[in-house]
Amino acid sequence: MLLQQIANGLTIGSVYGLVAIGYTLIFGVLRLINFAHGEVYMFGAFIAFTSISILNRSFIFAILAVIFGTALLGYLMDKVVYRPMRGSPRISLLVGSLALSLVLRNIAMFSWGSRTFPFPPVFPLTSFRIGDLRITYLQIGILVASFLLASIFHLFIYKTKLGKAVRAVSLNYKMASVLGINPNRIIVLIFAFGGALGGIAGVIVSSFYGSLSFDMGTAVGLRAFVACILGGIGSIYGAMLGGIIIGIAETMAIAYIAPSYKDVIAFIVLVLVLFFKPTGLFGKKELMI
Amino acid sequence: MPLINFALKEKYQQSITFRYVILGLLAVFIILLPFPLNNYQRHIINMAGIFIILSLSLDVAIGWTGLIHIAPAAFYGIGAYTSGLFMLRVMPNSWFAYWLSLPLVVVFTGLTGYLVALPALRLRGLFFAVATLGFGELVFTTLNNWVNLTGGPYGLGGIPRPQIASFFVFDNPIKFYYLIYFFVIMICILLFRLMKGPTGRAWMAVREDELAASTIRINIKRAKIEALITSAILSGVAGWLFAPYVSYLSPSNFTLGESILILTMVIVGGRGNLIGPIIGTLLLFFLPEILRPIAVYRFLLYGIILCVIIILRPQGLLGRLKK
Repeated sequence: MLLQQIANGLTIGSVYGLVAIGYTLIFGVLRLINFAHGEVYMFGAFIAFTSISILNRSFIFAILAVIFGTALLGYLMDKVVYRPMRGSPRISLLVGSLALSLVLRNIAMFSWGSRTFPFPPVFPLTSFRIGDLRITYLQIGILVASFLLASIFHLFIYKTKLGKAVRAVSLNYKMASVLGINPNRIIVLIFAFGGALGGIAGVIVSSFYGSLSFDMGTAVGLRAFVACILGGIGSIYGAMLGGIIIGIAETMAIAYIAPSYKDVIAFIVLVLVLFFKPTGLFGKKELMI
Repeated sequence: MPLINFALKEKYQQSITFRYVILGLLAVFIILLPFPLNNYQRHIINMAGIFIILSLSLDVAIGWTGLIHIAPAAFYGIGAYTSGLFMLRVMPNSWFAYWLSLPLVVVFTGLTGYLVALPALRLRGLFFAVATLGFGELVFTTLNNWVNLTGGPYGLGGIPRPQIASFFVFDNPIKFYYLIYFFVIMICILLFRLMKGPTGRAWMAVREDELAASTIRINIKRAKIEALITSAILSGVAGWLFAPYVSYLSPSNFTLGESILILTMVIVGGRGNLIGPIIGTLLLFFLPEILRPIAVYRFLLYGIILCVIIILRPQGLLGRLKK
């Protein structure tokens, strides 16, 4: 029933939001849409899976491995593909990111195989009820974790000196370098942070659904991308809000309207929002709220 | 002949006879091409021909007018299904149904193109691109779910081969080669004239600088709409050729992945000119075939090669770097 759907939507939506934050950070600073971000999300899930199921380590180890691994992946993406293409026409960057996502997907497919793997149950699936509503502790955990991460990010961007540097680079690349900020370092930071965020989102989702596969990044990447545009590209809160809106819209559409059109719902919502606000809900060109 | 001028001695560059000789050789090559090949290779070349039309159509929107649009597969699908459905449901068992479906495809894709063009007027670059992405998903989902009309995921089968009266049936890859490449050449000629004429130039002006273009009295809105409608119609024509060629249509032929493939062909080959998308298409078609010996790692290497090309030459193989 309605409240249940909203709760479910909120859960999946907050995950979309986390991935969307990664997109929006990179766009805000580089004006680049990193379509390979969905694959970072997927790698996060696989790194955790490898740590727990194959290497038999603890969950803490897995999370640390994910953070480190996906940050590294973000750094490599910048170094190998995007930095050499700095200054290229935007559409070439787009195609480059699409080619990169193809490469990453294939690497995952060759490394682990193309089947769907079961994600080890790390969290208890117990739930509690409020009237008709059943909420699992995992869902609460996801919501808390997502909001916590988003808030940490917000604090970082707005309350720290490094965050100020990030904002400076996103507003004006050249001026920032004139003022003594090394934009390349900042960009590496963004890629690493955004990557880590995406990776954690991947772990969250695969533990929620209990499964992962090498192509899980594409669908989520697309939704998160739409979410980030919806919220106004360049805005962190917008990305999170956009993710939640899409998550809820999707869950409700599946439940009440037409399950087979679930892939299109995200776009329909987006087009509706763009109709009234052509640059998204909090849309501005810079990385601001 | 700008393409190979750099390789020629001075006296050949301007010679008219030389140009005719080259054209003649090219014509002979094109006419004789399908014969020494086996059926599989002919099929690849035929599909490459259809995709050449698709890349050219996308380039009209992206390369000429600067409107980034990620839904060529949607118009391709609309063209294919329109033609197929017309032949199967509206006028079954009649040989001129196929040829009659061409104007129908043009009108239908043109109208849809117009509808898609309208948001283009309001949305800036990136946002319009995302809207076209959504449109593509919408078309795909509709094709996949409207089972009564399109057969849904089971597809639409049994589309008859094109026929001229009762004596000439296009029933083998060689005949289709001529049909497909006839249209490829016609479309190239059409686009060439369009490009050199005032309409094409107006579109390119819109790409370069909208404000400046409006000061020389180019109607920006009209240019964008015209360009998108042309792009849509050409993609639809590719679909019209595709439907009877494969005889069985399935929505999986018209996914976002296909659109991205076409986009890649245009960007890697170079946008804004006629030869770029053609080279891009041929490259992206023959590369997987050349890589076939490595079977499993094909797509990985393919992706890596694409990455390398786009990193080293972001304007595309035959593109021009702006500045």
